[in-house]
Amino acid sequence: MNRSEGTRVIKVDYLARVEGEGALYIRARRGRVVDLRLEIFEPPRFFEAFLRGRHYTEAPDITARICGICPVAYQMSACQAMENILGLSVTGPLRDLRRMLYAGEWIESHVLHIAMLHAPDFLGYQSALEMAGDYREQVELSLRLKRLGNDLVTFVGGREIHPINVRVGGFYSVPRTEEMRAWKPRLEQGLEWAVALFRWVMGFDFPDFEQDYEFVALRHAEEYAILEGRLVSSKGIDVAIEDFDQVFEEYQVPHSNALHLRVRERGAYMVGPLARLNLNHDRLTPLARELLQEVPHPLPWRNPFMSILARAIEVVHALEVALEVVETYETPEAPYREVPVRAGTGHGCTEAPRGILYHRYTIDGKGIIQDARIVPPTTQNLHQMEQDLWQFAPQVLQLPKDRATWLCEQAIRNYDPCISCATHFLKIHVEHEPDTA
Amino acid sequence: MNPTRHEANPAPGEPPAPKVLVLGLGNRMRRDDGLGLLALRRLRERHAWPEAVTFVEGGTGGLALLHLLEGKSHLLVLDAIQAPHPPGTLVQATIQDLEPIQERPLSVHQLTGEDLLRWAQALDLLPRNHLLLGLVPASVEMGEGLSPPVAASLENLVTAATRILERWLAVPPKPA
Repeated sequence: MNRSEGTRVIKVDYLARVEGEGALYIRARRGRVVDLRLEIFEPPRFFEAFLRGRHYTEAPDITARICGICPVAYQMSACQAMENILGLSVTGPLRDLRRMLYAGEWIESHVLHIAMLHAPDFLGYQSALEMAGDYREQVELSLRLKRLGNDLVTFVGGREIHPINVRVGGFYSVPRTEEMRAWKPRLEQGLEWAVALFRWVMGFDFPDFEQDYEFVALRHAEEYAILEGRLVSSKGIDVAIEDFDQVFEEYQVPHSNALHLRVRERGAYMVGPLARLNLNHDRLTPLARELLQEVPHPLPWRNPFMSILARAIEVVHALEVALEVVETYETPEAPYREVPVRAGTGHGCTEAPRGILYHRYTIDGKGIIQDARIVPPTTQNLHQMEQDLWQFAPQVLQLPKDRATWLCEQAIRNYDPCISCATHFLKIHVEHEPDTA
Repeated sequence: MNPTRHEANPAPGEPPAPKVLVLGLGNRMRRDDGLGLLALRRLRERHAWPEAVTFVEGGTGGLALLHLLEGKSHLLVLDAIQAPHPPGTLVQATIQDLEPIQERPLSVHQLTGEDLLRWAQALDLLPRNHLLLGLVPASVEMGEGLSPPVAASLENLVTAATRILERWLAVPPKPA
């Protein structure tokens, strides 16, 4: 870039323990954005290599380590892909347990993002710690609700941080019917807290910002899809998950090592709570659907800032799913199903809190992994996040450093990006190059 | 359901029994970042610790770990700590030693031992007796296994952690 053309560079760096893992680069010339690049460190490549040569039964545990916030999602997508290879179907109470486990993770993950990170954007706080002082009641209620999500994960998954009870074909051990029923009062209490959280969030002012997004989510015949479904989009995609690569393609970002995804011959797409709500609102549980009616914005919601409200509705939904399981569950005869191993390729795709998480594995006749592919939701959203930032950037160019950083962060935070392996707190700084025009 | 323990009330005049949380943080798929988890494991296995001590592999659980502090009288966090010292140097800090920060993470995934102390303080969850204890990392690239300087110092960390727990519990633990 020629300096004499009046180039100004804004750089938002994520200075993680390893520098340069991710950054937002905005390059502007005479007040116009000419280049914009968002890079977030993507650990799955490492895990794909790490998985090759391992036994297929290890995949759920190894991939769960990619993310300390959504290990259940990784375990579920990995199990599903392996079960797809083996021709094994997990149904009845074992499937119900998976739904309950996943509900716990949604609650925990969504509530944290809503209350600790996203809410301050709407309430005008630079720091979430600062907000915690003024909104003590909401923060404490959120922590109780998050705790409930943690406890659900511990109950079914055996451990809350990295659940250990999950295996291909089911679980290592399962709860008894009476243990399950005992959850009812806590979940009913949790549902009250979730409604309070939703009403708090509904009172926020959402900035005017709409885009013509292509929303992508799983679609299930009866349920608000979490564990399985067909891949559908708001612009006509409707395929089996096996066809993931037929509709989406990875492409190399110029001047970077990063790989982004796009819909073939179309472009960016959005996965996550907003996509799910827009595509599957008719499958929400009764109370969640009732609350949705209270929101004075007609669907589809094309404003990414409203993702916070979609998350709040999904927390209510997740609690109702857990309640349904608690009321109907009967102890299964065996904690898992097992069939002889066979060679093949299988696909798994489930709705992680941040959107669809796709896994594909090839194993040989001894069950050894020959090939692995993992596509997390954040990787899929990156292209769309950049598109949003393109819209944001012109306003940001004229603003002081603090304000510019804050706005760029907000546009990114709408997506609740997963940066699990960027191990350190972000130290964001904006760098202005002097305008030499 | 989670098992609940019935605990005896302390006799009148006796101080309440300590409830200690030892939390290991980090990602063991990122070389030295996992040192807190390895130290936690060594520490836990070395002695027959009383029930008053809870060991948790917090990993990369981020803000999801905050509730673990509820009801605890003592907190020991083991983590990799960035500091201007050579790799493997033993570093410790309390909340008073930490600089105030203004930045906010983009994701709830991001939480270091420092952040945990700050959040815990803001939410009145931070025990008065707390310590962040760790080593300066040399490499946090993707991969398994500690770097040589950190591997050589891990025992220092485990020894220091043992001393702190002994002091907090006021009785030396029995060997495992």
